[in-house]
Amino acid sequence: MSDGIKTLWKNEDYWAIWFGFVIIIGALLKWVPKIPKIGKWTDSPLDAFMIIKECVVAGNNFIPLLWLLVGLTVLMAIGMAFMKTVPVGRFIAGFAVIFILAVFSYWIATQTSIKHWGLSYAMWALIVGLLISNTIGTPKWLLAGARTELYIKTGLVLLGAEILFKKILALGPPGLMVAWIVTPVVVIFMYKFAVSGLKMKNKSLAIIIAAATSVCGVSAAIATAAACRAKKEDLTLAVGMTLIFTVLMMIFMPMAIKYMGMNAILGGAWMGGTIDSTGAVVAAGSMLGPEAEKVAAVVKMIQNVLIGVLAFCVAIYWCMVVDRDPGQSRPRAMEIWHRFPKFVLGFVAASLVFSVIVVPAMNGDFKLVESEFIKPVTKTLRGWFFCLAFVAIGLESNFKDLASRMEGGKPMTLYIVGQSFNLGLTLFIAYLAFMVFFPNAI
Amino acid sequence: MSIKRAKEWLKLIIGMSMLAAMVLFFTSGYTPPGLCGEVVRHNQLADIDASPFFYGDVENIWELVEGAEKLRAEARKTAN
Repeated sequence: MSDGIKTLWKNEDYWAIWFGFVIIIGALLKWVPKIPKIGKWTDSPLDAFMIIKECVVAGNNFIPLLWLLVGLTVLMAIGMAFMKTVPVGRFIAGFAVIFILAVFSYWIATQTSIKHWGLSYAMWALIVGLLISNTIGTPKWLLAGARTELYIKTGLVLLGAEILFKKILALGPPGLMVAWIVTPVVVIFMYKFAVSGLKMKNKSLAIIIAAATSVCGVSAAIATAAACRAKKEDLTLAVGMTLIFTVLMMIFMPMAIKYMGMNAILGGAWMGGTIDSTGAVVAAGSMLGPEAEKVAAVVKMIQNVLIGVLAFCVAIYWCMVVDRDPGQSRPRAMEIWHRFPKFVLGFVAASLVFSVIVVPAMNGDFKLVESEFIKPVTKTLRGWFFCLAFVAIGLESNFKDLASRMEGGKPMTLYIVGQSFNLGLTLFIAYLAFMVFFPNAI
Repeated sequence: MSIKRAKEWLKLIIGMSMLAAMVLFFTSGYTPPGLCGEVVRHNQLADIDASPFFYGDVENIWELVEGAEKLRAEARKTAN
């Protein structure tokens, strides 16, 4: 049997696609039950594990969570058995502990006040993992379960199912202008500045920071890191920076906009195009009023939709340019195919399946599609896979490696310069879009 | 247990204590005084979850999108 065929069950990228589509098909055929998640809690930590129906405690999530662990273990173990990268037994032991650490991270993140602060599970999962790896060290049997790239890629394939193109015209041309003109300009500017201006050696880190700043923070960072096969430490650094600045921008931008007496719609569009996470965008937008909140949320949503395009373009660019040996001629199509991260195709395929087949089959009722298939299964599992990934990244990272990637502060300089450029350009384009070209659009 | 190993466990205990302190701090409902805390206080009052990093995770995203579409439709009516 040729090596090409063997990669279908040996290659991690393909297994991310198989896992993703097994889950998607299971969700569509209703074979996969509603996936449990850690609920909100305020004063009593145990409330996070209670199932509340119509304000009454209807049960708890402990058994469903146990079944989730069993289900994911079986699914992943099948892949491990074929890939033969780690012994299956070791993987199972490690995965169980990583799952428990993910539950712990989610449990912290679902506390009400922590949600108000905008501190997502990604941050807590990283901290928990880093805490173990930089003190007692991550034992080898635990590392066997830390299949970071597999969790990220599987989560990204499932994320594709949530990219529904239908609503990108909610704000009309001005929304598209802000989201789709500014974003590629900022990505390219930041990457060029990093490579030519700052002379950053780590191109992967540069493109991840550029993507996180210009597109939509953590999710863009994850997709880009996977597309360019970046090291985990690069993702940790970029995510850490973006999480901190997201909270700072959420706090200070609405104040600045009010102080400047800026038009609320313009302010909402500005924040939507610059604050990195949608939750923080909605929170900040709501400070300016309901109209600004809606505009901010939709601009950020339109940017989020670009994740797939970004991942695809970065993957192609990396295959054709960055990973090419100096002096080597342009790689041929087969070479590009060989190097191309296949999970990106799974991501695009999932998006197309839902946008072009599932939603039309449900008479265009995307809300029904979301409530029946996406919310109960694919979205929840996507969150679990990303949480597992961030715990695994933390377990595999150490502070010395992270410090060595700081290159004298160049990544921070890149973020600050890039975000400043992003702020200026987004405000300019948003002004043109909402105040000049289409003043009566909203 | 060697001294080195004991130090590592001690670091873990200190780290976990710092994590617990961080969690206690943020779960206490504290907000920075003045303008710096305005957004967080607003989030507390309106119970806004500012943590989702993808639009699909925002609970009321489709209400917001439909609201934006309505705004656009009303603006078009007014313009016509």
